[in-house]
Amino acid sequence: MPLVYVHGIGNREERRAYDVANRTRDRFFRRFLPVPVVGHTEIRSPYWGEHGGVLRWKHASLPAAGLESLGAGGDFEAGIARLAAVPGAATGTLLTGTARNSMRDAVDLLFTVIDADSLDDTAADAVIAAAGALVEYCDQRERLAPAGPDRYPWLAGIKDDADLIDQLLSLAAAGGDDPEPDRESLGGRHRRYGRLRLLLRGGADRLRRAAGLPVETSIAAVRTLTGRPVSDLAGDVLTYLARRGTPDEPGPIVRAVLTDLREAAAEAGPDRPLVVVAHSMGGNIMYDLLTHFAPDLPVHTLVTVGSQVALFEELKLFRGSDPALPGPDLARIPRPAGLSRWINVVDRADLLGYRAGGVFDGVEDYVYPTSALWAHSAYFRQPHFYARLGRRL
Amino acid sequence: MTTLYSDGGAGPRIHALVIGVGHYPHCVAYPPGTPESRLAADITPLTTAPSSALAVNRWLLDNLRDDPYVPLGSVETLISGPAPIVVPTPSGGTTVDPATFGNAREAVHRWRGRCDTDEDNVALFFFCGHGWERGDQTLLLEDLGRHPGDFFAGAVNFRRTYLGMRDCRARTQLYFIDACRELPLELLEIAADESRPLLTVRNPLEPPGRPLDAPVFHATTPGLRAYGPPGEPTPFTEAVLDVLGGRGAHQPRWGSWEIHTDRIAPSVRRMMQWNGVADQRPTAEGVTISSRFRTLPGPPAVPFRLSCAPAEALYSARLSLTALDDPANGRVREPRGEPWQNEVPAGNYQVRAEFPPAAYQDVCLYPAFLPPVVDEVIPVEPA
Repeated sequence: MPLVYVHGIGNREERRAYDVANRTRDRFFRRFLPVPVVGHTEIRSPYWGEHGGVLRWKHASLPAAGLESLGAGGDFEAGIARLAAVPGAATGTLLTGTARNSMRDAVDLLFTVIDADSLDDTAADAVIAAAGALVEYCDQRERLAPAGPDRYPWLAGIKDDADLIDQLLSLAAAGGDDPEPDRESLGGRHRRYGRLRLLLRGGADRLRRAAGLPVETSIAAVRTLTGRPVSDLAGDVLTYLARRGTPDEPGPIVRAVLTDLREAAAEAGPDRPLVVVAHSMGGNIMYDLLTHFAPDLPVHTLVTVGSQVALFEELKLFRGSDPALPGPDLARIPRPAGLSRWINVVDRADLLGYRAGGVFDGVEDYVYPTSALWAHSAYFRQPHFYARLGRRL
Repeated sequence: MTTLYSDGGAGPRIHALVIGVGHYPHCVAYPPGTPESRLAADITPLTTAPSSALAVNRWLLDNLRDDPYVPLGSVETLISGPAPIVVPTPSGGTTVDPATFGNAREAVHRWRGRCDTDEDNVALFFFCGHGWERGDQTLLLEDLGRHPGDFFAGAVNFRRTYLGMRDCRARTQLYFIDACRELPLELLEIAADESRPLLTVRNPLEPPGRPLDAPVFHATTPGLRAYGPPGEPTPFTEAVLDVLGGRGAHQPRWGSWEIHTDRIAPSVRRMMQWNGVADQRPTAEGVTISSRFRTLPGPPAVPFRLSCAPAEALYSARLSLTALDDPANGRVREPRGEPWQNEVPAGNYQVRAEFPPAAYQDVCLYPAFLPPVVDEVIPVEPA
């Protein structure tokens, strides 16, 4: 199947992080999604960020302008600052406490706090391999042992997050931590996942250090999170709505996404149906395309993740929105005609993600079962998100 | 401490202290949940370290006792293995004391005392075992982690130990450190370098006040690892012994093949390359003024590898080597597909590559075969 990913708001190609996130996400797709979905073809990721909102004074209207100087990756650091408020962060036991409640959440959090911007291809491969091994490990333990202390018996002996990371990595090594049995290292055990361990420990340590920041700094960091992306959201949404054009003269964002979709659709066939994964605003764009700009486009499965499609429909913001609905004859909007299956993923803790089943007919709402504070920006960093998506495809 | 050998004769002597640590029993059960425990968890047993220390001891006793330049004066050794190490000696087997911090301190003081008796003495220090480097090289002894509240009680600060030897009278001091120089993440989580020197440093800012040749030869570069095969000496140890045995020799004057301190590091590096060790580069630091370490009784053996370019010419090449000062003593290699590898005494040779008619043109060269190794390609032209 051809696979297309449509990004959400706030993506700008000049940011190196965008490129790194793209490559990492593609690796996750290939590791966790069924082979017929990802196949051996290119995963298309139409880039429409260059046509999104441009703040001519570069966020000068924000009260917290300039706060990005807090760290190289402003959004990431801000996300860390949010996590740092969680009990256990300051003592380096946040992951361990999370694992005691849900090992799956701990694994997801572990991979969320990686500084993904620093991943080169080798490191990204190691991340994906370990993530896959840990998801399989969690699956296996849940099959073999009931919930309770017997499921992860080693967890009782874990004192802090650093120990937890070592334990998880040793499990991910699947019985062979020493990659070089034919020689001894004179500086201690040679860990198969040495570099990955540094990445994971680095994320956990930043979490712990952020918890020790002065209150003003943490607040400022949180404002970076709540300020900048919201202005990006508003900028990109308003720009899209104002400039999306018409089917005869589509706007630049519609053109950019539609070009890749048409190419992918041309590769699709009865045995190779088209699958589209759309994040956040990308879901709204996809819905607008399927109901107005390209209703003829055959899409087998649309996966909207952390999207606001139902909210937009409630506000009647789509070109195809019918102000008369809901009405006495039609309580919910039918799924777009060209779309065979629609999965809508939303995390309860994602302030920007909305259920769709209350507004649309023929959509499978899937509530992603975390209560993670980092939800909206982190779906695509969490191994279990891909694993669950893979199972549903 | 264990004195394997002691010669109380007059005149300068080489005094060696050899430490090999392959047994870290206290790291296995160190209480979890701290950076120290995570460091301890990585400290695995080593079989290559005792093997290396034993190889060095054996080499010293076999090769330096009757050295005509500066003979062996003493060998002090500490080796830790899972069971007591017994070394064969002329008087029977000697059980070697384990390499604990207390034993090492005693051994270093005895060694230093011997070295201090004559300024022409040579001090030789060899360590093989686990190590780290956080600014200073740390050498890890058997009792690392013995006291849960004092994990680093078995960790030696090598730099400060080295500085403690500066006021020893021995003008030539050689240090061989066969250990990793990585900086584990956990060390950064610990406030200070808690390793301790084996000697007191007096006047650390004061220059030695006299020429001191005290190079430190490390098995690897800062931040990287050193390795060894299970149960056998490490490639660094093997290379060092090869170099001190003759691969590091040169001829500063006619008829005299000598090992000088400034030739050791590049020769060790070359030997490790020659032996196929691609991912470990030894380095050297410290003051070096090129002291003579020993004089060889004759020209050292030089390993060589000769090939042809193009390589397929080897299939038809009859290769020969003839020493220019001993033409009756030549060597021949009949045509074969792989390079010719062997060793010959160091010297000047005639090298011939002869081919059947219509294959390639014959070649005759007159190169010097000098330590540490010769690895050459003979260019040949079609006939």
